[in-house]
Amino acid sequence: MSSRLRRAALAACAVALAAAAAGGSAAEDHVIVQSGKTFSQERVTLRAGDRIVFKNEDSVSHNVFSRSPGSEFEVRAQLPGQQSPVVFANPGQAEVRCAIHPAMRLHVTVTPKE
Amino acid sequence: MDRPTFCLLALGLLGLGAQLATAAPPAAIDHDAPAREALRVSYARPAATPFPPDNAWSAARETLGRTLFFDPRLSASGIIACATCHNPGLSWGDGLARGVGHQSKTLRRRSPTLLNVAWAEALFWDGRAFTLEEQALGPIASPDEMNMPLEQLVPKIQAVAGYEVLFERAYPGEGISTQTIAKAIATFERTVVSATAPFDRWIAGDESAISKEAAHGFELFNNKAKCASCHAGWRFTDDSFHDIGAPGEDRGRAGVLEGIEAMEYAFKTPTLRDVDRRGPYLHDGSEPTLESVVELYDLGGRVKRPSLSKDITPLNLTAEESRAVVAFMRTLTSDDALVTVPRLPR
Repeated sequence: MSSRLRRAALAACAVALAAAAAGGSAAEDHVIVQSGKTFSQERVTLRAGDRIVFKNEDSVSHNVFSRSPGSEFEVRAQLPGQQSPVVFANPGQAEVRCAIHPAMRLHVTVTPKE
Repeated sequence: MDRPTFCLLALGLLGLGAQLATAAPPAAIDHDAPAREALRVSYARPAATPFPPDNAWSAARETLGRTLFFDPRLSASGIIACATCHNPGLSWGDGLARGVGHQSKTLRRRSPTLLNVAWAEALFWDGRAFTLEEQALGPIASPDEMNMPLEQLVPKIQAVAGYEVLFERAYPGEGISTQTIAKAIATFERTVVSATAPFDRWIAGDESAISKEAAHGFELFNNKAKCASCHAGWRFTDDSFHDIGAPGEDRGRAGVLEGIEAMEYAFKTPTLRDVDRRGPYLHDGSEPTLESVVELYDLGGRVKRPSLSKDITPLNLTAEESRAVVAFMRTLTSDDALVTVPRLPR
């Protein structure tokens, strides 16, 4: 299995686990748009299990990632028009960046599920 | 006397302008069209230079920084100053394919220019430093470059009697330390700002400032040749990192951000200010001329690795178009004021 497929499978598992853990309390999607080499907002607050859908509405590629403990991920190079959902399963703080554009930063606060 | 801090609004306008510029249709520039105004905004120069709150500009700090910058005693050998590789007479570079460091060792990468680094988002070819204060000590301490262990640097500078008063004026009560050395050098480096070039006069409305060929090159730069996707704004860089398909084994930013494919062989997008005076090109000087750099991009990169930027694709430029893009880049060279080498304290 290629690393891309493996990554997609892991992401799908994470979503399924998050949904199961929600126990009827549906996880939410929060859309963050990349445009003009910036994120559409500087900060976002989620509940554990929610997803951020990163949408590249720019004219150039982006490569969103986080190395924050508990929220490590990388969506790989994202072409204009593509979108990538990422589950934030663990409460805490995360800094999301674009590997290509160092000025792009998004601060994510993940609160515990009720 | 404080210099005003650069307005964030202006930065926002630059970003907006860049977006508009890249979205503009591939048509010849109509100087009366709204697109021209969007481009004008996106390439507008900032009103003032940014200095961080914890290291605000002062004349004393700039003077101290300039003195340290030109002082070869910051190196272990006593013969390499910051200015050795960042020579103002060579547009703040050294004109070499790759830098030369301690005991004449040839380094891995080309010495980048310091032009307009006050606005840079990440420093070094691989972006491993986020501030000039952080960056300034790197080459001093590097065994391959100035080879001066920082624990030895401070007593060496303290032993130069004339420095004491310069530090006290610049950073009263803080003394001579690695922190104040770095802050002073960073302050001086922030004052290295390009003067207006023919392009600046043209984009501001002086139609005679550049040739028709160069104006055509600018239109290509923003559209078909896609240069402005990364060489954006008045500095002609958005500080982004890409594998542009240049040959070589240097993994670039992957050494800083491990595990991200797009960062393999990726290097920082350099400014194009004074670019026709700063060859050879790329991070390792492997492209000898601006014409060969344009050829690399026209091919969509010379080496097609998995990490090749998704934004690097063949351009299909004609020979005439390639010449026009180069003609445009030559309009970015400014006649900067001469720099006075300071009298060094003894």
